[in-house]
Amino acid sequence: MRHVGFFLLGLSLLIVQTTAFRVLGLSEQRLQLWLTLVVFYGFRMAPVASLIHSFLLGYASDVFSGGTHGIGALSALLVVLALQWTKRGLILKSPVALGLLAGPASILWGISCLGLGLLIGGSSWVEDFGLWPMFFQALCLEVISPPLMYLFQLIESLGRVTRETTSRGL
Amino acid sequence: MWWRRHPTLWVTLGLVFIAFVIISSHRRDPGSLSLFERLVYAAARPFQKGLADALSGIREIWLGYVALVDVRKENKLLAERLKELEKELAYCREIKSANERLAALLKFQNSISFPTVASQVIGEDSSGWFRTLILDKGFRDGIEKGMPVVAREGLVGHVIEVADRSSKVLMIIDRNSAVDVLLQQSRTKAVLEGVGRPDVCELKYVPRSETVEPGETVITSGLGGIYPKGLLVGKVEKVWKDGYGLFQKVEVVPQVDFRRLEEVLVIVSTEEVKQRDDGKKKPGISEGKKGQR
Repeated sequence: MRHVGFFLLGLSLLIVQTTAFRVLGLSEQRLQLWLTLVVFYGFRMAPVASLIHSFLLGYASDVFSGGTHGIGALSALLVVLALQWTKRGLILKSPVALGLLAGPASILWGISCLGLGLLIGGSSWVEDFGLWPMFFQALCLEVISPPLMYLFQLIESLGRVTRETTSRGL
Repeated sequence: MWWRRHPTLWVTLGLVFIAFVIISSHRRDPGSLSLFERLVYAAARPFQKGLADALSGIREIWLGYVALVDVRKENKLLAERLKELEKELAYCREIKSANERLAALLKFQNSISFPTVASQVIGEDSSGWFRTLILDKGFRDGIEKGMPVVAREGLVGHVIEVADRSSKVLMIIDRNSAVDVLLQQSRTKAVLEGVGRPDVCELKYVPRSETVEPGETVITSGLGGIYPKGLLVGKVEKVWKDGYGLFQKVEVVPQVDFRRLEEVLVIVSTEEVKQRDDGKKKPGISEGKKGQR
């Protein structure tokens, strides 16, 4: 249930990203909100679970994107592997500290998508897109991710309390 | 078991393999959807539609409400009354605006000779790097891959993916889009390509010898097998020639404001388009999606 819940949470972040931002006129500054959840997975879940979750979320983001399906999923995998590697040297518990990783994760995901797009698609759209919007999006994500991390923690602890209550009741 | 010693490694390798399978199958047939993709579309669609409707309403009401803040300071009672009226007005304006848009869309729908399906835009590209839209109509509503999409102002793009109740449209401003077009006054044929910006497209393969003037109207040529002839695309904004090369550079401003698209029409009678264009396809240039990235 916990895993399904977190996947649905990621899907809802994608819906906000694709629909709400458009209606609110923020489509040009679109942030990869779902990547904050990938960072959360990377630090809070077991490695195998975080890999599968991130892959599925990346794949779901591909579904709403005009690019080749699978590139986002592969890039999300790369991000979560980088996070697993970072986790070895860092102990991050505060949501603010976790949130600070969302920006670099967004940049890594962007570069990976651009690189894979170039390798697989063979087009020169990297030059046309430019790197500045990617850094700007990462900066915005850096600001917005700490409250999101608080929210994820809250949801996680609520889920834990519910599970414990249910098991005691049984 | 040997594989239990390094589960992360094996899961990673497995997922990388799956990713490459997804990439290769999507590149081979970009329009086909896997079960997971269908599920994501199906799960997201009602929430996307609901959120789009709710936020549109809230935005309109909020914009009306903000205008009342100063008035409330002057006279609280009057402001309260005014607030209610303003809310109602905003609501009425939204209804009026939707009514006008839909009436214009209906008028446009009646004016074109192809059967169409009206559809609401419920989302757009998740990455921000591509220019695609998500519509609230899909396979069950008669939408098929390759169908042209228009707004009352002009051409929007064509359907590239279809799920049960939603579909994805590649807009003409996407860098992957290529549309066979005709300059209405000079009758010059060219290919319109997106540059990834919402306000401008480029005309490719316009010979240097052709006279193209800014302000000239660009319409679809009917070649290429996707778009019927005569759909308004935009107007020529800028024309220039580099010191070398066979072709001149032409910038076109699309007629459609892609940032404010709310309702569109999907031309469902592709058979008629195909019959009309049968055998006329321009060699070497294929209309629609240029290629995957």
